[in-house]
Amino acid sequence: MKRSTRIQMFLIENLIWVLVAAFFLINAAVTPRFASYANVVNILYHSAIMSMLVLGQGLVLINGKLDLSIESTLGFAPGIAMLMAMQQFPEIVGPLTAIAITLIVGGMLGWFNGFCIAKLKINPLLQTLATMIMIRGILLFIFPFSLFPLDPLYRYAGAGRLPGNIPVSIPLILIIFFILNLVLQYTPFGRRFVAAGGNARASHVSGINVDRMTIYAFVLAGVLAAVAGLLAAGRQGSISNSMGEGMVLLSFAGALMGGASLQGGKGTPLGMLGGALLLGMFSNSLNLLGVGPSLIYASKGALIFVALLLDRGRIRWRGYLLHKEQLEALEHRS
Amino acid sequence: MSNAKEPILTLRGLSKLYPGTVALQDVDLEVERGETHGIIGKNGAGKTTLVGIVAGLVQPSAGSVQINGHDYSRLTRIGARKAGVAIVPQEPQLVQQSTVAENLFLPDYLRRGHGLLVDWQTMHRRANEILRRGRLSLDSRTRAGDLGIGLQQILLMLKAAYVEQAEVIILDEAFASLSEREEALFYELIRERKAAGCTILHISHRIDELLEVCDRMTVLRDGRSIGTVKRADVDKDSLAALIVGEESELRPGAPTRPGAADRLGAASSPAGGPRPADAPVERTPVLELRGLTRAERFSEISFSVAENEVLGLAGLIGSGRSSILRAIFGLEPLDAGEIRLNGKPVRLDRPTVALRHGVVYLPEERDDEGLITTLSVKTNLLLSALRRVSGRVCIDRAREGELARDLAAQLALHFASFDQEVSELSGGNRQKVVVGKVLSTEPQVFLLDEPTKGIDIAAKAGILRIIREGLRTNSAVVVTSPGLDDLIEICDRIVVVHDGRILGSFQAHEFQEERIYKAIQGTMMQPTR
Repeated sequence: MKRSTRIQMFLIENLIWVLVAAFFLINAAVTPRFASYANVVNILYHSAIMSMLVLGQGLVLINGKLDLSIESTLGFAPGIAMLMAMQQFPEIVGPLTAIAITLIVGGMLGWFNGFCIAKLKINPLLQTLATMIMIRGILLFIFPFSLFPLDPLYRYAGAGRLPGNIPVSIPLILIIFFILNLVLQYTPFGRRFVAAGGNARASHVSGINVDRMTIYAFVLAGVLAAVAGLLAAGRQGSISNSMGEGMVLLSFAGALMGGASLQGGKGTPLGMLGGALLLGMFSNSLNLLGVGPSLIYASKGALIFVALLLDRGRIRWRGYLLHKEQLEALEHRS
Repeated sequence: MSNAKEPILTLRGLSKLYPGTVALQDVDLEVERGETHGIIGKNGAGKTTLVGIVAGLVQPSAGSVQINGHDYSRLTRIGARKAGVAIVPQEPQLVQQSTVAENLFLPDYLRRGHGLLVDWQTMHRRANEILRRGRLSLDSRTRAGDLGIGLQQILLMLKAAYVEQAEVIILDEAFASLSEREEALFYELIRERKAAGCTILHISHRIDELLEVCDRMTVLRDGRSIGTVKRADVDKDSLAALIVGEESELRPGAPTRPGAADRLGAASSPAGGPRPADAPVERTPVLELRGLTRAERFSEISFSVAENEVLGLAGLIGSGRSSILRAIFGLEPLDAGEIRLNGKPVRLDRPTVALRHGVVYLPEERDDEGLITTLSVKTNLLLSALRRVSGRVCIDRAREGELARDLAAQLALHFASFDQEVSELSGGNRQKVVVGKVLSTEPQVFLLDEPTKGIDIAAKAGILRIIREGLRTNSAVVVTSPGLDDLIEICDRIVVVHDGRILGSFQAHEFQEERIYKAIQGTMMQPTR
């Protein structure tokens, strides 16, 4: 393969990071205070919660399914944990146990979705829709109020600061993204996971336990949504019953921009990180420019649309490059 | 109608190219009004493509279609339907959730109230009339999905005949999945339509069937038309010879194939020694099947395969040959019977278990079951062999690259890069990736379901060579193929399956395409063993 082709292929594969870089540079030139250290930290901090949902959604999309319920899990998991820690069993459940409960509740909700979808063959859209409404309703029922103040240790992940005034949540999410990226790319499990999403029948024939992969995907999405809930609760210092509402649609946006596709088998965690950051930067820059929240919301919709167009363009560009390459190879041979 | 002498259907210079394959090459065909015209040929001869073009389902790469004196340069399905062409495909395509009546009248529901409302009453009444004409005791309110494949097929025939009142009815292997009673009903319908002046284009593998209903037959071979013959001018043998081609003409009645025998001898025993086929006793069976049965698919299947042996399963579509392989691999359930590996009985009820026992399966449906097309060539090649290339936790990238390069060299794969998506490869190269995938696992039993399906001659030769020279070493191979010549080229033994039963087997020295061809039609000549 020629060098220029290889460079282009590399850019196509990492289109999201090209976009992130381009967007950053343009904004640094146009928007006042955008490129300052404080603002960059700010962008990362504000992207942290959404990025966990994007990653969870992205993993489910790689598996070829989708999960609407993660936005309810985001409120439900920390809600249950804090309810136990502060009202039901304050003597037994300390802050660390509460964190564990948060993650376990998220994982169990994910397992429930995954089990019903993999074993009972319920359509993922409908299954997770049911879960989403169900647990939001339960949350509203047991939680007709806002719960605060939360234990400082419980808040640490969402509100704590490291030396240099860096929020704890930034290295936390970076580590999570990094680990999952390694797992998907470099372990046999990861390969099987992605393959099962790309073509379930072929994976079954290849000796992969496809149902188990589906369940893992949903469990991971549930746990990541619980992490997002932990971060959100920590940042606000309280838990409200509306936490996470409306976030799931944007989680699709981030995951799709990060290279996932609704057909499954596509995308990487690092790509999803790029998608989440682009979403975060986008609203940050519009914020700094003084655009109102409703218009920011609309612009995010437009951003999704542009991302979808870019994806089509990317596929064509790739096809064109490979076609050219093959033509040249043929000429060489003859 | 116009001049009765004029052919109703004229095809000129039809060609169809698919990436990597030529499905049809310069085919001319004239079908006279009111005749029943058979189209016959081996698998991959281009039969379905040809009628697909007439039905507007496939766009030709070159050539013209003339129906009823009209030229159609771009024939769509809707256009073909307007021109009076109906097709009954091999896999009946009905809306499974809808009723029989709805399916019969789709897409033109009968209407009332100035065409605004569906006239259910009349529709059901007419549907029941049609069902009675077809001698079916069925209620028009039955859901189509509740009917068997055979009845669905008949329903489509009724629709073509009485609802669409098509002038040309195409039957694309419509008989493949019919029961005896359904077959009789179908013949009845064909005769009735013929009497009504309909032109029928009948595609089939089965010689008997064609000889029974057709006036003329066109033989296709490798995408070319070999010629059109009248029913009166041929019998079963001469037609079989035409279909199979020149090989049988070269060696009329020759008992052996010297070339094949030499090659076999050289490959697996000292030169000049007895052919391996003559000394099966010395071989230890690796895979042994005892009375495998699956209701409605196959019954009492028993055979064994030894190390270094390639066994071919020959049979028509629907004969059960694929089902047998899938059941061994655990993709389809077994109702009775026993599978033994190296003499020990095993239960292989899932692919995972089969793979663990060293049994690997190459699926017939390449893109659906063989590949994950969104992933890279390398990932696909090594998907079943991840254990071989990984350390305790992670995949060893160096070992992975080495093994992938190794496989690609063996397969002579053409591609731009290992990280290329499989979806970007040509058909032949994709098939090679699937072969590479089963090769990478180093199993003791290979089950290959049509490993040469839909690929060009060069790629096919490569894959056959790999099977013969590569796979056989230290393994047992069971293979099916759309073409008998492939099996004859690479197999040590061919087992003939018909209607889910084994009719007999041929040893390498008895291989003769014409004889085996007749055997898979269900008329075994001299079964050995």
